[in-house]
Amino acid sequence: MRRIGFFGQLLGLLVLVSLCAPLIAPYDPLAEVSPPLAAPSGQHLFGADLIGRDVFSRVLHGGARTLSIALTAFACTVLIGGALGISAGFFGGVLDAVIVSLTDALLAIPSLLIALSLLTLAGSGSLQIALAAALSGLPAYLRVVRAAARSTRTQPYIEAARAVGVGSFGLLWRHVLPNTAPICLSAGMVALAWAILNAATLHFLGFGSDPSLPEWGAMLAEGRAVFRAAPWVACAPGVALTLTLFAANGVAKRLAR
Amino acid sequence: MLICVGSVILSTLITRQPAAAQPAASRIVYGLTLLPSGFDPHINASSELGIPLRSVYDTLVYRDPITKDFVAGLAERWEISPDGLLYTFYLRRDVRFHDGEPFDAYAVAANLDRITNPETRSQKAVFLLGTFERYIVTDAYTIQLALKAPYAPLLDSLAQVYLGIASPKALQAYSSDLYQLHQVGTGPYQMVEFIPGDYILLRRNPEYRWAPAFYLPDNPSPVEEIEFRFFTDPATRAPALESGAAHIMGELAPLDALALNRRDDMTLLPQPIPGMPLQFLFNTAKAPTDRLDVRRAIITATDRTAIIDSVFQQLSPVAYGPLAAASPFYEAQIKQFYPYNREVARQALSDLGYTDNDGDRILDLNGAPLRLIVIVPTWGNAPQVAQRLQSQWRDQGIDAELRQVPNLAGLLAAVQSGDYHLVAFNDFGADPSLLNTFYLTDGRNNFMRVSNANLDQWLMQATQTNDPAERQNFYTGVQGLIMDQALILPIRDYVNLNAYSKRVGGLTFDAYGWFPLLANLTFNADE
Repeated sequence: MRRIGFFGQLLGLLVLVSLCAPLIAPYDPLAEVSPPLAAPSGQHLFGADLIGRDVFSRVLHGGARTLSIALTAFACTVLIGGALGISAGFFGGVLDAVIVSLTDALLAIPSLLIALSLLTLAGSGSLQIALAAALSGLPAYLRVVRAAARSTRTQPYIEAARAVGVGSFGLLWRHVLPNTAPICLSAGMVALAWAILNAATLHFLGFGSDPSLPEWGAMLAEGRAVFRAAPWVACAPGVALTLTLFAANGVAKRLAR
Repeated sequence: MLICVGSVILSTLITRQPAAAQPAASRIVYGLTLLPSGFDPHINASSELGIPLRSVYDTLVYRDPITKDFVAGLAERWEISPDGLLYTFYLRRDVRFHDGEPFDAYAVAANLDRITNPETRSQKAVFLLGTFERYIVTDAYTIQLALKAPYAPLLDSLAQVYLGIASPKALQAYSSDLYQLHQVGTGPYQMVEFIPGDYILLRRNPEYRWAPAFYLPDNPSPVEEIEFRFFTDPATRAPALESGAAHIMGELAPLDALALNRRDDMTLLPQPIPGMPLQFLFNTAKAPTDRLDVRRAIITATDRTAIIDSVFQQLSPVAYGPLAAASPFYEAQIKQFYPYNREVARQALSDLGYTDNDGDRILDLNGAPLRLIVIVPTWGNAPQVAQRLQSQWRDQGIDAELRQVPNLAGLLAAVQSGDYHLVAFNDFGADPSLLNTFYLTDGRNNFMRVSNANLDQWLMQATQTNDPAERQNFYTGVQGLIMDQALILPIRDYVNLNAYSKRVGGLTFDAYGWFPLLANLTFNADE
């Protein structure tokens, strides 16, 4: 437990609570179980929204949804960005030039604009949002991994291994990958934080297909419209989102050390 | 020494504001709620542009805000030929544009030339002209509009800000793109400055002597300058009013409007908007909503009053038909259709063979669940309404899948696919001819995929006759037929929730509901 630190424990707790939402949540997140905009009480810990749904139950179920979309995005970013970044950094040459040019082109466009463009082409929906969030986080992650691989390949132990006849893929697998892993993991946690934020942003903007399904970004957007009368509707998902990002960034910092 | 004195004089000259740039004593801020892509009424289509520009331009005719009758504007009077193909307008002779140019028939001709020029790429104005073919300037103050076919909504079109008459000199001086920054009309306010995305400043036109009858003849304390600023985020509107950053604001969220109404220093003005209500249009080409009895049962199963109570805080009336109650030719008898009754709805579905055979609390027929795909735009409180519908229907064994679309392009693409049962949409306008694009078989917004010979015939005939009684008959029939065929699920008549501080008074709107009569505003210096 000490290795993952406070932030790791916090992130683990948030993920666990979200995964166990169907067991913990006191109400069906889609059911009208209270008068609209009821204030927080013993019966409804985080109050009720405009439709009369229990905000606590929706935050729990929303966590599962937000995190699953973000984890899908994270997996795409790490797998694609990691593979391309390490290949570009290690092999260099034409492959590196092509990949770097492409990432430069993507980095020149604001990440949200990339995501919105993809959603305009592919339509709304959770999978589309996950892919859009992955694509928007990809260039930055790829560049970090490439830089790590590039600095590793010039290390003396790599030269030595090459001198004794270890092949390129052997070098990659046995030496480059293990030595770039801490940076990849740390950058990966930052990528996860961005994926959570981007996914929530896209839901906030209305790109999540079904507005009745609980999701933190969409709940924030709903809560904003009634913020002055019922601040709990926006505050609950807002705090949950902030805590998750806080924890993910804390873990990234710890991994970087 | 000389250099020092020179520097002081020079800096004084540079930093001194010219007299014209000093804000007037009676200056207010009017909040706009949307940032349209452009502000040229001949080119752009947004309702938002009309909020400031309704008072920059006069139109040939006006609609009285109360009676909705046509009254004189820049045309003192007009005649319509018996065959409805020739409109003759006799123009006022005492009108001048803000740039000092005289107004005459040649100015009207120049405006028509600009609007109908394909290079202008007009998004609305040119379509408002309907079957317009050409104009004939018979003398300096008489102009005739010749039509290819009778087009009854023409006067309504000519009363709209999109066909406001601009100074030909200004139109010639600026390109299509730049004119919107230098607009010149004949209205009670003139455009002083427009910084796109930032603000629009209007100043009272002291020479304005040709006001239509519904403007106050002697406003004792008119507002000299009005600054329009953008408050596109709904959450910022009420705080802007409360903090004094704005003095008038529309499109308030219902809960914010109620909170403002409780304050002594604010006045709430709910303004009904004529046109189509917020409604869900049924796709009649896709099962199960291709069956009339299913559509009727769905409407009967919907408790619209409960939706109005929660989502709109009782600040909008329940809608019953394809036209809002504030629209000309609205038929009140439409209210008799489909009162809420869940037992009747359940029985109707049961009679059609829908039962819950698999115990999942959703009705099914031949193994297929009663599942509706609903396209939901993000605007107009449609998401909240759709979620309440989903919840109400689920209690009655009807499953609804909501597909939210973030913008108009997304909505049109979703409709194009045909994979939906209901789609939320509405439109605004005083003339019921706006129904044509939705209900005619070849209408470009025929989201219902409806093809009904009677509807086609009555809508076309109502567009072609100028006799109000005949038009009323046709539109009564159209409204009844649309609801008899259960083509739409109407939810609420659109009401724009405006609030204003005690610093201003006399806020009223024109016949189209969106556009304030700025000349009638009064400034309360004591507040």
